Amino acid sequence: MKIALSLLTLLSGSAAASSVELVKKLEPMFEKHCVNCHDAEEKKGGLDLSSLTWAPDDTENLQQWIKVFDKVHQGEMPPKKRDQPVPDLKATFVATLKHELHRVSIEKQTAQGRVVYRRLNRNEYVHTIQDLLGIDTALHELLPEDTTAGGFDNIGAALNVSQVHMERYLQAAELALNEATVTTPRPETTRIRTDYEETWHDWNAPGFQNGTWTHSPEGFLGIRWNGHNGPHGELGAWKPQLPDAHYRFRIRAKAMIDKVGPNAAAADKTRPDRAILLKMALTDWPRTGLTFGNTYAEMSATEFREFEYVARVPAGKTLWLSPYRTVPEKPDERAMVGGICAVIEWVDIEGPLFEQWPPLGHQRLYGDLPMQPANPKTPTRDLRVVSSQPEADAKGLLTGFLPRCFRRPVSDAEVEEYVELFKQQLQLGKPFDQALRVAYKMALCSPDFLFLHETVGALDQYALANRLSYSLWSSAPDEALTALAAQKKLTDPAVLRAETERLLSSPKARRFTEGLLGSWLNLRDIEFTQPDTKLYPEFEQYLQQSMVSETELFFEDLLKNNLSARNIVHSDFSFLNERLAEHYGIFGVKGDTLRKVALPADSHRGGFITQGAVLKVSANGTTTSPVVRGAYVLDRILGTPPDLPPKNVPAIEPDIRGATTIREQLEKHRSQPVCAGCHAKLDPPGFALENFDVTGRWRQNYRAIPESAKDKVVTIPGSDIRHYTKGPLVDAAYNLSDGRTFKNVDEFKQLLLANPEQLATCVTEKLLTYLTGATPQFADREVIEAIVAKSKEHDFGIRTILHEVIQSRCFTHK
Amino acid sequence: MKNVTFTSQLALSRRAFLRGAGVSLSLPLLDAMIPAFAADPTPPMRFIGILNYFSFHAPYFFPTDAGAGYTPSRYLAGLQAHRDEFTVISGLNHPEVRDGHASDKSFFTGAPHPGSPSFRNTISLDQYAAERIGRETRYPSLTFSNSVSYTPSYTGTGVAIPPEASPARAFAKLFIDGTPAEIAAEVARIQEGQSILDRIGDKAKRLQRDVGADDREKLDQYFTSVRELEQRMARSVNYAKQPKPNPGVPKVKDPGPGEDTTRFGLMLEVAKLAFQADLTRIATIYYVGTSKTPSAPGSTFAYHDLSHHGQDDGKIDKLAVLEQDMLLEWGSFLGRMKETKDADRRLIDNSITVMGAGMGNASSHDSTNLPVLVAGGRFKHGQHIAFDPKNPPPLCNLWVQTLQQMGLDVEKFGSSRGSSLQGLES
Repeated sequence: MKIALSLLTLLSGSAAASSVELVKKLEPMFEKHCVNCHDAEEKKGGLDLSSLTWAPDDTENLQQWIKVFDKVHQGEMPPKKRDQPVPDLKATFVATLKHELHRVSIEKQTAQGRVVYRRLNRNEYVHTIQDLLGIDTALHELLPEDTTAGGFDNIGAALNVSQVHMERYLQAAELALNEATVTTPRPETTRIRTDYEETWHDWNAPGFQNGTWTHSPEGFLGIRWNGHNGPHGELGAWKPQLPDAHYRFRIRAKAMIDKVGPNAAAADKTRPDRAILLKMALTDWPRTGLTFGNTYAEMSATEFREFEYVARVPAGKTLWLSPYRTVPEKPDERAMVGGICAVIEWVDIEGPLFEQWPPLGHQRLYGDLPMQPANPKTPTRDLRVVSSQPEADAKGLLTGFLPRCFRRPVSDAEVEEYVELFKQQLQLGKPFDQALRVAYKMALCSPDFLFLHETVGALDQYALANRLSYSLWSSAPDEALTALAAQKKLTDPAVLRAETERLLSSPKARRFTEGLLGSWLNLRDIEFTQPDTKLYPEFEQYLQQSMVSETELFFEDLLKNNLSARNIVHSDFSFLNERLAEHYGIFGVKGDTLRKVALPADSHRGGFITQGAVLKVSANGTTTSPVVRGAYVLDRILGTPPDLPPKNVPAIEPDIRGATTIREQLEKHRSQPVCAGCHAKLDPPGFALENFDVTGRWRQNYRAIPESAKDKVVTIPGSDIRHYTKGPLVDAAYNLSDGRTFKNVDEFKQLLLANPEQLATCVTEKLLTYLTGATPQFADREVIEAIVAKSKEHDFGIRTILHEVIQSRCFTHK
Repeated sequence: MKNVTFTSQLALSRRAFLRGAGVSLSLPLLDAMIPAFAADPTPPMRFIGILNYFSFHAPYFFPTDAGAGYTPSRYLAGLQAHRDEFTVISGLNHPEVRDGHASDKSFFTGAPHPGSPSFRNTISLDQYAAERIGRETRYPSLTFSNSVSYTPSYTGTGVAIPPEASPARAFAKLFIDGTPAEIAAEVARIQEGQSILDRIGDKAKRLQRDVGADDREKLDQYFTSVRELEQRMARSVNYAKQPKPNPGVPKVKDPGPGEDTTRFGLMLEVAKLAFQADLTRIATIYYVGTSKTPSAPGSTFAYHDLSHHGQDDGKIDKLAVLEQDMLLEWGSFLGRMKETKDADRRLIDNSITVMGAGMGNASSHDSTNLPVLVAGGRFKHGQHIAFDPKNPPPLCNLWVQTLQQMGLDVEKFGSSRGSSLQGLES
């Protein structure tokens, strides 16, 4: 009777009366089937039911009870080998506990809402300020990193504020306002045509012989891969006339293999069957020689073509062009041996580019007020906005700016607070524009800007508009959406649906794809690992970029065509370019553009779980671990995250010497009873993916590091890579915890496809989490079940699920 | 200001100053900074915490025997010149922290389950100390990291403190006076900030009225943040007008990308200079291997890649080059702390240095048996304290001990059980 006691001691007053009922109903099950193992002595799995009190106000306690419910409900507990409860007993237990958990959850939601008062996360803050002021200043690194909950970085409960934030918000606001403020007349946009002959300082003979430069038969300069230090392909003599502005580069170029001069005798190791790409980027060479903003496009070997590259060019940076050929047997760029060239006929540079003048942000901050030079001697520098009636102008401008900034109507009294600050600054002797900027700065640091203001109950028109636009654009509502809120039309389900469609069709919806997949599939961490260059010499940046694009385009296609949630596990298509297709062992895809490709039946590909980006973020760069991949699949694909590992059990230590396989190691690990339970669920999906290495490439055998010179190393025809040896054979066969067996990933996928409801449920949960800013709570379960049921009519279509989530009470209420 | 010249026996950081700052061997003494303590004869105890993301290869790190007569391990062999100044501790961990890479978040906090979905961090000991003694110096604390995405330090609400990745920028902030115009602009900026904060705090108060408990907590965080920053700004207005101390050394220049160990050495040096000038008493540094091709001689792979050595000897050797180098940089720092006078003692006696990692084995992402080095302060050093990894005291006991030596009245911190580590005596 220990249980009854502890349950009782926790409840008081009216709650105690109902708890007596609760206890009476739960007790028979606990006594008969649970406390044998889960008591104070044995405490199996760390659970001691005799000390588990009923205190659902405490989050951890509530989680514990939900776990108890789930284990019994799903039939995991009591364990199969033990006596099973009679159906009535179990039914009563499940129904009682479900009822209580739901009641507690819905009461809290009714009283407080399910989403905790949420500030903009870093991404949302940057997008909002950039959209508001029409700038693209990099503000990310100024702000502290956001904490996540369940992998998501937009969860109100997890997003905290500290004085560090406040300090940085002040700095970021100042930076952004300065960026948006114009202090010169419109700079002249010029267009120049240049080429490397003109702009590269003369290296004279030795330089050109360095292997970096050559000439094409037409007489144009070609940038040649020198095989060692990378090509010096920077446009050395060109600097932006106005730094930090946008420039458009048009490049006329052609691919060439250099077979003249010092290379005439060299063997052609360049794989002429492969396209040569033009890499366009910015560089600060000669400071570090690093490139960023890398973009790749395929050149023709027979004719000149034009390529366009638009970039914001900071001071000290210039354009970088170089030939780039992805040779899958070569590590990164540095090993791409001689001969490949980008022949550049000319480069057109247009800029600085402005969409309008004064730019959008300046217009919003200062209207059409005139500008005067701070010093009459320099009439084109240090212009300041001036006003002949400062207070009236400030009031007028703030009345226009604040509703945009706070994303809702703003009362006169509120405007007055900002006007007061402006006046105070003016009295301190500050010029008009500077005093006004202090008021703007206050707006950008106020809780009205930084938080999404939602009150308990159904969201009001503006809160709903905000939730929708932060969901799909990671930024503030535009004028059309705001207008619908003002007309009180947005709460009409048909209007909400139409707006969802409209927002999704905007280019800004790309932010939804990136934000959602960044959290859901952890694509945010794609850069975290660098595959071992000896074991995986073929891995390089362009391949990685292609992988991320594949997953993003794939998701957007599911959404666009309302394709089934089944596709997260298996699809008969994907988005590939030549490089990625070859990586997957699929031939016949040509060129650099990712496009929808029907997958061959024997490709083992299709679905998130066989995509390169997913396989890379779920591995560590050297080895794959079925445990890590298993946990990834359980959490992110099946929606059933595993429990934490028990204490004092050493983790598996990977070994790439080829003597032992991870399977042998895991067998040993699983023989410990404390590990077996979880690993029965963790290992199967992990093993199913063992045929994919850390770069997402299919493997029959593991790769191993040669132990001695005698070891036979792998050589690939036409390449000189011999870093790794052929290791043990991969064995991906396993059985699910319910006993069903599979031989490989293809069969594994079929087993998962047998339960599309589970996949749709996972998709629904992830969308619900991202779109509302709160992880699912117990009371949300009925909503999720209803959405899944509804989506079944459309074969669990992803767009249907998205709409249903947005129409649900979880979305339309705080 | 009097300039004295170092003689060559004085161990400068091998790289921090010689390469990073690009200066010759003679450097003026930092006496301009010493008068900070003229009024108070007992200099304060400082703290510098160093976290190494990818940990140290355990078999090369830990000695195999315990006690004062321990035989130096491969890694510690290079630090024997300072053997009496540090203690190596094995077996420690944080209870309820076994979360692989995420474990680093809890290293200085002790917060449980950093990898769990509902994780919320707690305050790190440097910030705990900064909240209490930070107001006595121009800067409450310094937070460094090789990579701005990784921080060692957290506020009381679990917010990651954005770290400084540029030693040059930190040096400029601490030691280089602005022009009169820049100073005036800085003062104006702070005063603007004060006017703004003064007004927006009330807005949060107003919003708080009609929200539930969880929401109120968030708005309260906002309100508290505003108040805290206001107080800090009130102090910094005065500081902004005061000239900065002259460290008497050439400006620090940032090393190139990927030169992680050089960068680390410069961060140590800037922290040391800040301690000497009493600009702060608290610093943390996060050593994160950032490069694809580390500049350490003999090493050609990225640190992360190497840490997943999979027992391959070749990779372990390269890993060792990198880790040994980093430890030598730390040893060089200890050497300079020994040589630097601080009132009637050495600076090292008035500075507790702790270096460690959130994982005991980065290859398997194991979070037990954490490598921990403690140097300086008033501890009795020169030993290997070996705890049973299966049943160790919580690492937070060390944090309690550290905070107590800093003069704080602390009985408990994080998951501590008791106020000291057995064997580590003052």
